[in-house]
Amino acid sequence: MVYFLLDLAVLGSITAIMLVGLNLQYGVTGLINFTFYTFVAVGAYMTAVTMMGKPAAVYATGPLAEQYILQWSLPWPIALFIGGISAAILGLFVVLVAVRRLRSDYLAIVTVAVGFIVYNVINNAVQLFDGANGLFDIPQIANLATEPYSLYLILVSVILLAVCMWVSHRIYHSPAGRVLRVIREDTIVARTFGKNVQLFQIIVFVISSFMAGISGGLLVFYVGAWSPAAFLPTESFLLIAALIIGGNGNHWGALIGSFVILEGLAELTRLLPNSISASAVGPIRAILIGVGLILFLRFRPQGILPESLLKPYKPRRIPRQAAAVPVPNANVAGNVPNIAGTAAVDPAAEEAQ
Amino acid sequence: MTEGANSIPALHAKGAHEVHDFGALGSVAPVLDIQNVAFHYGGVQALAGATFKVPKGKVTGLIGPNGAGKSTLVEVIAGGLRPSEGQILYDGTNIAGLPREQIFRLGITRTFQQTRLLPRLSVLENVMMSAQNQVGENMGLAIFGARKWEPQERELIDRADYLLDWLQLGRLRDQPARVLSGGQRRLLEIARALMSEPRLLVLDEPGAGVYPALMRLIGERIREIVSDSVSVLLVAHNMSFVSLVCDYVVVMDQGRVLTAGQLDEVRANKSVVEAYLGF
Repeated sequence: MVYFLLDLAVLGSITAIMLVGLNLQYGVTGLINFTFYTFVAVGAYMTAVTMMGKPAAVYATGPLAEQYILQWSLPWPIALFIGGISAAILGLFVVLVAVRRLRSDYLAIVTVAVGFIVYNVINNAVQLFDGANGLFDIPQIANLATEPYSLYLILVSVILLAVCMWVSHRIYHSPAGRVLRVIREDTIVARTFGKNVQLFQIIVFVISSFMAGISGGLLVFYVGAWSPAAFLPTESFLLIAALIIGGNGNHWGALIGSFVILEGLAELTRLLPNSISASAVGPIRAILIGVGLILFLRFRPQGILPESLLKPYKPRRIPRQAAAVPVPNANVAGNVPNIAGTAAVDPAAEEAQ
Repeated sequence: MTEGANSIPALHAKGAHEVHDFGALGSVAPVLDIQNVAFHYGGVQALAGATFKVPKGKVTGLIGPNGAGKSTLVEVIAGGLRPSEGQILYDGTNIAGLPREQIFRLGITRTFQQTRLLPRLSVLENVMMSAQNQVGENMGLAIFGARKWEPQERELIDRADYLLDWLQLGRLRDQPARVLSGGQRRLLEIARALMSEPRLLVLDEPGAGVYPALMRLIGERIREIVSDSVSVLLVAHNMSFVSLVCDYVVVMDQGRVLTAGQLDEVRANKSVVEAYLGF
């Protein structure tokens, strides 16, 4: 039970960082990225190769020889930062290529292509990250036994998750966040009112890619290995599904998506009867999430925690001063009977409907 | 009045003091001088050398039958379409072909023929998004410098509240824009446009699909908006609305300008009667 909870807490907080990043990208700004997990993978690989040093003697030569670039032995916080920066640089490259066309479907197709390219390069260029064999024996960031080490990683992950949540919260509740939501709703309107759509899209894509890279680094700290099998396209699909079910556009919904949908469900599959083989557990989880996604899209598209629960920055109404009046001839305001409201749809009734 | 617009030198560039004889309106400086503007969608010529001037500080109506090229011209003025020929002088500066963002920063704001509100954003946010020069739109300050943008944000909220009250949408300020009726959407588009403190407001059929009493309110508000520093170019079909609101009328047909003048003058024009008015 303790192991179950520790596992849930570590993996939940790491995937929550991913989903907070994905929420900024997709939920808030409307940028569709079908290969978000590729950025997680880049962060994982780069964190690993900048901290694990040279291969152990047993893996230095011979048929089991482990090959990878850099082979640095940097302290883990620096390695983690490099992992985040590497993913952010890939994100910058992708978004610079894709954002020239403002249509979100164009970006989505570019991300699919990038995912295939990165996967195949890493899988086949053995000298980069040891190809299909992947990296293993990635050292722990603290010399502790299993359970204290999990607690240590929980502490690190939760701190980083809190930072990501804070950044996401500050962005969402600022005028910049308002622009991101305008871009999500209608890029033509955003441009018509002078917003630099491309710049905002680039910044958000880079920030969320950085978060993906950080979460990838944390993952290799926990699992101690990484290979192309860890970032199949299904993983990106599961992230998007978890975000939609949790509450697209709401960073608290991202937490629900992570802890309850992704990791909670994965842990619950442990309760499956022994007659079901271990290899079937992953597909069963994916099927459950897929069915959940369909049901939510049909019956509750706003997710468990809808974006509407987030209250944008709204200070108390300050008594108006005459000097603030922006409209010429404002003295006539109020002379016209209130007829605008007579055609209004009752908001409560509309919501209920 | 217009902090953002005043910071743009082009607004006060050459031609700002030149005047044009607008007939019964007298000699007025044009805010917009459209010269021989042409545009075609593939093989269809939507604008075929449209030429006219928009007087400063007045409401100019742009009328004509369906397919006359009015909305295409609005798109061209607002930067949505690049004309194949011609010039559009805004206070003496050619703005033809500039992107939407730049046109907006010069002080030209438009509304849309089919309203384009942001359905999931609140009514208040729909208005606030259009304010120029928002400090908090800098991503760095958004994350780390709330103290730098919050005072401005409070002022903007106050101004947006004023506009919403003025357009009788105040009680809906916190509702998502999707719950508004058709007429209220038109009003909200006007509020959003005014929030940017435009010098030229381009309204594309602001009275379309609106019941008469609300249309009268929109018309009255448009009259109140106009001042020495705010001009309006308005596309409309409804002649009673045009007569209520417009100082000057330009009639288009088949991508060209048939005539321009005060409504009584254009009504007397035989080609206008044949092409549009039908009497």
